[in-house]
Amino acid sequence: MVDFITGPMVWISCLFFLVGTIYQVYSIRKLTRKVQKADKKKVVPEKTDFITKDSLSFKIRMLKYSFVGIHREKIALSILFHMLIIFTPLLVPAHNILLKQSFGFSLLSLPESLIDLTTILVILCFVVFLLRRIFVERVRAISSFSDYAILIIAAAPFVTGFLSCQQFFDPRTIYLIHILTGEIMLIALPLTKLVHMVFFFFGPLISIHKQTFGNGKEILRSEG
Amino acid sequence: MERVVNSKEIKSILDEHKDKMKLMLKVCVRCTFCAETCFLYRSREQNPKYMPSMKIINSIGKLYKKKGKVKFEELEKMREIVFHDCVLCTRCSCPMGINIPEMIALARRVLRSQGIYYSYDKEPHSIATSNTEI
Ligand code: HEM
Ligand code: HEM
Ligand code: SF4
Ligand code: SF4
Repeated sequence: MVDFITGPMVWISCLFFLVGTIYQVYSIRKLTRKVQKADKKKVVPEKTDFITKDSLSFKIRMLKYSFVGIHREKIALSILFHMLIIFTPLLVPAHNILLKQSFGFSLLSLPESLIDLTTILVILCFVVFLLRRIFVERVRAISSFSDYAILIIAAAPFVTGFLSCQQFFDPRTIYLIHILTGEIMLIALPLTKLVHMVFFFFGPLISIHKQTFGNGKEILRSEG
Repeated sequence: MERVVNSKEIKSILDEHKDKMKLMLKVCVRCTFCAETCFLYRSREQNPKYMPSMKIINSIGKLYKKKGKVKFEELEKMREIVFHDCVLCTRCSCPMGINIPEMIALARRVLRSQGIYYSYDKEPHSIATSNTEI
């Protein structure tokens, strides 16, 4: 069991993450193509239709006033959180040592003390997100069990990685739990709402909707 | 009067849009950033029930989760959400690019297939009074 978790399971989870993510990008592309075809076939504009299409500058203003203007602090925190959550695991010295052992190459490693700091920051962000989910009424209103579960799945590798580096409790067990939770998170990435990683870039860029950058058109048909 | 719901018919409508619906529902990170883009949310005391994501989760999200096997009362509740709490103005937007009005329109189509809709000419009062209800 231990051999499996520290051996094949690592490869399985990494492969699953890569293949799953590529598949999700593909499925988003497929979906928007379908819509494009249907739109062209079914919707034949009539003379009485008003075809509305938002200009790029309107979309940018929309972003400015609807999101950035209102949620400035939340977006700043979110960007900080995401930068840390993406780069911290890539720059952990121990991860790079393992990469070097397996593939003979490694990415940049940051000093252990700096990584400890970024890990703590990530964990703090998770605490803020959890509190927000529990105490802000409008966030609680749309949260279900899976939202809490995903927060915990995503936070677990950071908490256990930190504990492992600090040699808290039984280091060997914590180390095993770290690898296991890391694998669970990698597998969860393409399967759960964590796919937003790809959707954030591909959704607004290629989905056809009048407010996205996919340049959708909307037809207002005057009825009767 | 107990009215029967034709779950098969609902499911066949949902199946037509299954891939898209599934992805849209999965990808919502519940960030609530769409709230302020809906004028109903803004003008009605920021009541979360007008939040676009809340509306799709409680209508099309529920239909999808139960694969169309819903009770008539549940559809009645959805009627309020998709015909009354949203006017399909298509102004809302989402950082993930989720097309919220499209999902609401799909829910409307499902409800209409079961003979459930809003008679705006016969029920104007509920619209006028909803300003004060929380
Ligand atoms: C899947 C395979 C993984 C393996 C084999 C692995 C292995 C390790 C090892 C050996 C350490 C050093 C622990 C120590 O010094 O005792 C470590 C630290 C760490 N890991 Fe992982 N890890 C994996 C996945 C992940 C993932 C997916 C994340 C986060 C998304 C993650 C985040 C971290 C962090 C943040 C630390 C350092 C904590 C600190 O320095 O305070 N790991 N990992
Ligand atoms: C480039 C990639 C990514 C982008 C552009 C992105 C974007 C976003 C956005 C816009 C939100 C909503 C805003 C908020 O609630 O703070 C969000 C939330 C979230 N993201 Fe990401 N994300 C990315 C990658 C990731 C990754 C790799 C993870 C985890 C491993 C992750 C975990 C989360 C979590 C847990 C939340 C929800 C926070 C909450 O519960 O409120 N994201 N992301
Ligand atoms: S803005 Fe989009 S992702 Fe965020 S809660 Fe609303 S629908 Fe979901
Ligand atoms: S389409 Fe509906 S949810 Fe979107 S802004 Fe208009 S009323 Fe609000």
